Amino acid sequence: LTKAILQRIAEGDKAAVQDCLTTYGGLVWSLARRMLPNINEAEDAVQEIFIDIWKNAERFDEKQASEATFVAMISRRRLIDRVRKSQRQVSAASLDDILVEPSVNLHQHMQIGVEARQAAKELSNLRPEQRQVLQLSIYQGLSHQEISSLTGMPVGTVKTHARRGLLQIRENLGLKEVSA
Amino acid sequence: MTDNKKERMLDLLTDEVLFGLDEKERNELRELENLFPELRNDNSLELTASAIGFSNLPIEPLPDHLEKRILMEADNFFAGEKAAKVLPSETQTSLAEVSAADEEIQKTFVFESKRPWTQWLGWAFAGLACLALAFSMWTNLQKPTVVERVVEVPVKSPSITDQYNNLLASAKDLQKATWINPKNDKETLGEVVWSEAEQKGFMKFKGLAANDAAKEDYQLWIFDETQDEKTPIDGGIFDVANNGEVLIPIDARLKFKNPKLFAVTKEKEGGVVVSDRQRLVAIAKVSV
Repeated sequence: LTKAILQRIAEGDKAAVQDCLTTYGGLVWSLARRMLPNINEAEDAVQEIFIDIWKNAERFDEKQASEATFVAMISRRRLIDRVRKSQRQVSAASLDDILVEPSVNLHQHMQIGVEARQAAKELSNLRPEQRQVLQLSIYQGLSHQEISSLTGMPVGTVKTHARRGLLQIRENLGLKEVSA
Repeated sequence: MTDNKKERMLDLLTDEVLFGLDEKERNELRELENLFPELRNDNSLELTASAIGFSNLPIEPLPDHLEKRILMEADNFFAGEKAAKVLPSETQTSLAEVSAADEEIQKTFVFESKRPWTQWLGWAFAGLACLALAFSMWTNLQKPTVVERVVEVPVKSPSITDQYNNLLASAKDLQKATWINPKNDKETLGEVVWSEAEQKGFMKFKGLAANDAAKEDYQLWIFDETQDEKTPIDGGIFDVANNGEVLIPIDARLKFKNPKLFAVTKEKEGGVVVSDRQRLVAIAKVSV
């Protein structure tokens, strides 16, 4: 069996760092570009994320989630931190750009994560308002107040849709409880 | 009743993953964690959100220049990380051991920039060898050692101690502050030095309790003029292996400007995005 890249990094395999960049560089970069419009900020964030990934490599457990999902989780923590600190504003005009159909380009881009492929399917099965709230929160890191302003839904409704949607997808994905 | 509380905890955990929590909600979550400890370290919701996060992501390739920057960063990171983990307490001995650890790391982690480059290098050496051979035949001389010397390129990164000493020697805007125990301001725990111009700094501690690295980390926070006091800059996590003197490089996530206060908290393993500041172990106030 081939060892996971993160396991090799945790063991000090020097070639694994290049493999990590080759395999997940595009994923991390694309996540950063989606959440951080400023290219310089995105570059800084990606650098920080890879350091976080190396720091946390030994915590990856392939029995609990795919490596790509674990990398996406580490990336997300850092990106959300930056988005929240930057206090950026999202205009209502950008709503259409943010909300895209979950099935677009699915085959082309879904080679690196089993859970992601299934998550896209589960997302498309949600009620439209649940899907909309989750996309705005997860894709853009918007707060419940920002989503409320953009969509016109009361804050409580935003939270309810988000909670139910996320719990439903978790249940259907069958992700195991892990600590990281 | 228990079901309601568990449901409330799930709501808070979901909100934490998607929107973050305010102080009141964090306190509420902490109380509920005592009732349902099995949910405390559950990150399945975070993994779910992350899987959704790249479920429809058009993948762009990582720019070459950024990849090169990260590879260079990797070299420094692994050297520093290993040394920090190995750092023991006794002053003179520990510094020597840090240097030794760095030497070891330099042998282990000499990162190649990219495979295609090394492949190209192979062809370049082959070309050089052919040229050397042709030259040798032409001049009737036999000195093939030139090629061997080209191959031996030592790569050496400075140890943390060297980096610390370099900063002390070179930084023109070097500043220092003393670590004190927040519960007893007469108890000093070491010092922090930094250079804003170089965006570098180091923490020296003496007497900080060893942490259980499998369960918790120390985390540095920098309060400066760029950030609100509620969201100080994350200065990185670190471990203390023994009760004694340790030297840790600051790993600030954002550029800092005019720091007013440094604080170290104990957090769950891996650190946190926002600290509840419940376990504050050291502070260093910057005198104006």
